[in-house]
This record gives sequence, structure tokens and C-alpha cells, in this order.
Amino acid sequence: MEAMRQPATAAKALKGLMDAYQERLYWQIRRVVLIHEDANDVLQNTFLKVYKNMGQFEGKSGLYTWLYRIAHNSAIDFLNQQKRRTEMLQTNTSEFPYQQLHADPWFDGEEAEIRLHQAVAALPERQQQVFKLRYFDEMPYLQMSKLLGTSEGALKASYHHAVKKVEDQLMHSNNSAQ
Amino acid sequence: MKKESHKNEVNEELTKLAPTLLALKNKRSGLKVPDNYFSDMQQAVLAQVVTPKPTATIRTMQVLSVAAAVLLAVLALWLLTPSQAPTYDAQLALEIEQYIFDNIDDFDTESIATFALMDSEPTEATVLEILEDIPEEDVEIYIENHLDELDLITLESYF
Repeated sequence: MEAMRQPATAAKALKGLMDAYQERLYWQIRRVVLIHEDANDVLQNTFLKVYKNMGQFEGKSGLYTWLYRIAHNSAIDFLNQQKRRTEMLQTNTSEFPYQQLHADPWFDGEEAEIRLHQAVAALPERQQQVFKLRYFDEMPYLQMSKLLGTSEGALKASYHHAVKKVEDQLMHSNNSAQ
Repeated sequence: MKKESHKNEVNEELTKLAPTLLALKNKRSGLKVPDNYFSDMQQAVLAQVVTPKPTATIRTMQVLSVAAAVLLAVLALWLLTPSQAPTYDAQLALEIEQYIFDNIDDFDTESIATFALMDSEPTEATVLEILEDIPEEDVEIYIENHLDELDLITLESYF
């Protein structure tokens, strides 16, 4: 991190940081914005923010915690901007990214997977965050607790509620499809 | 090994709670990434994080030069400007002004108006004109109190 504060070594240090964390951060972002090109924009912006704000990293939290928060906030900001743009222009563009998944050349999943993303998108934001970290990343509660600054008990309860809601939604949509 | 145990833990939770979610979890994800995406992304980011170009340095130097020139000009102006210490006449005018203020009730309206309408520092002539209206007795008291501060020429002009 010290190397990133020195202009002579900053670019090299940033490359090291990207080597270490780019894939994890990409998937965190992709599961929020879903579309690959959007995830690419957000990921690049995340690393540029990291580079510009290196001086603000005080080392109080872990490096990955700091990176994750920047990435997650950038992804949420992106979605909010996209939503505002859709509302303002009153275009036919879908408000939710899962509605655009069919058009993403970097998605070749089944309809069931789109329904899963749809059900997750209906959760409150915090529950979405907890659900994705546990369900997709299989992150232990202790690590999640450090990352999100919430107690393990609260996270377990939140995940439990989220799983129940998503399961109910999937069951409901499966029954409707039949 | 550790990762595998976390996976099992998550799957166990789902077995009890959500069999549909468990079934979906074990299928491959449809979210894909282009080949060489991460190395291309790195290059794109690093291209934006270039060291400042020389033009930026020149611009900074220009700004600093202008700032230094302005600072020098202000300093020179301050050093070369004559001292603004009050002259003898100005000091006398101030004391008279104070006297008039203290004894305002003794002056007629016309004298006050004459003084108030003056748009510049009172000259010796205007001061003497105003002094004509001040009782001689008061002028004598003033001169007695300030005898050490007045030169002979000024004293002569009062009589």
C-alpha cells in the first residue's frame, strides 16, 4: 500500500493489487449489475477510485474490506444512476438488470437463473448483500461480519430471511410456469 | 479443504431451508467473462493512471511564476510607498475637529454646515475661517494647552 502512495511505484503497485483482487471484485460487482459491460465499467472505476483515494486508506479495516466497500458502493451507485436515467428519459429500457440478461452476450444461463436473479433483486439491499456473499461466494459468517460490520447473529438471521423469500418466490414462479 | 467445508456448510443450510435454491446452486452459472478479460481490463486501467505529462508541469511552473511576480510587485509597492504618518497640518485638523465635536453646542449651524460640506482634508484657510467663529478666549486656552506643539509661524497666523 505504501508503494501506491509513491508516484514512482504507484502504477506497479496498482497492478499488484489488481492481480490479487480483480476476480473477486469483478464477481462481487457482476452479481449486482449482472451485465458484463456494466461490471467492466464499474470495476475499472473501482480501481481508479482506489488509486486516487489511496491516502484515505488508514489500515483500520482490512484491505479487502476497503476494496469491497468501494466496489459495492460503486455498483449500487451505478444501478441508481441507471434507474434515474431510465425514469428521466422514459425509455423502454428495463429498470432491473436481470431483465436485460437475455441481451447480454456474456450470459448463456437458463431461465431459472434469471428468475433467481429476479427474486434476489426483490430483496432489501442489505439482504441482497448478505445473500450474495453467502450463497454465491460461500463466505463464512465471521468474515462477512468483518466485511459488513454486523454481528454474526444478525447476519445469520438476515440470510435465513433472504433464503426463505427467494425460495418462496422461486416456488411461486415455478408453479406459475407449469 | 477449508473452502470445501464452507461450501458444505452453505449447502447444509439450504438442504433444510430451500431445496430449489440448492438445486440451482449446483448448476453451472450462465454469467461468463470474455477470454483475456482481466489482462485487458488491467491495461485499460493502467493506461488511465499515467504519470502527469510535462505540459502539466509547465502549466504549474507558469502559475507559480505569475504568483511570484504578483507577490514581488505587491512587496515593492509596499516598500516604495511613502509613510502615511499624519502630517502636522492633519494632526492639527484632527485636534480641531475633536474640539468642535466636544463644544458643538457653542457653534452656529452655518459653521457646522461649512465644515461638513468640505469634501477634502481641511486646508489651513478653511480651518482659519472656522476658527473665526470660535470665541477668542477658547482659542487662547487651546494655544496655551498646546504651546509646545505649535511653531511661531502657525502662531502668527492665528493673530
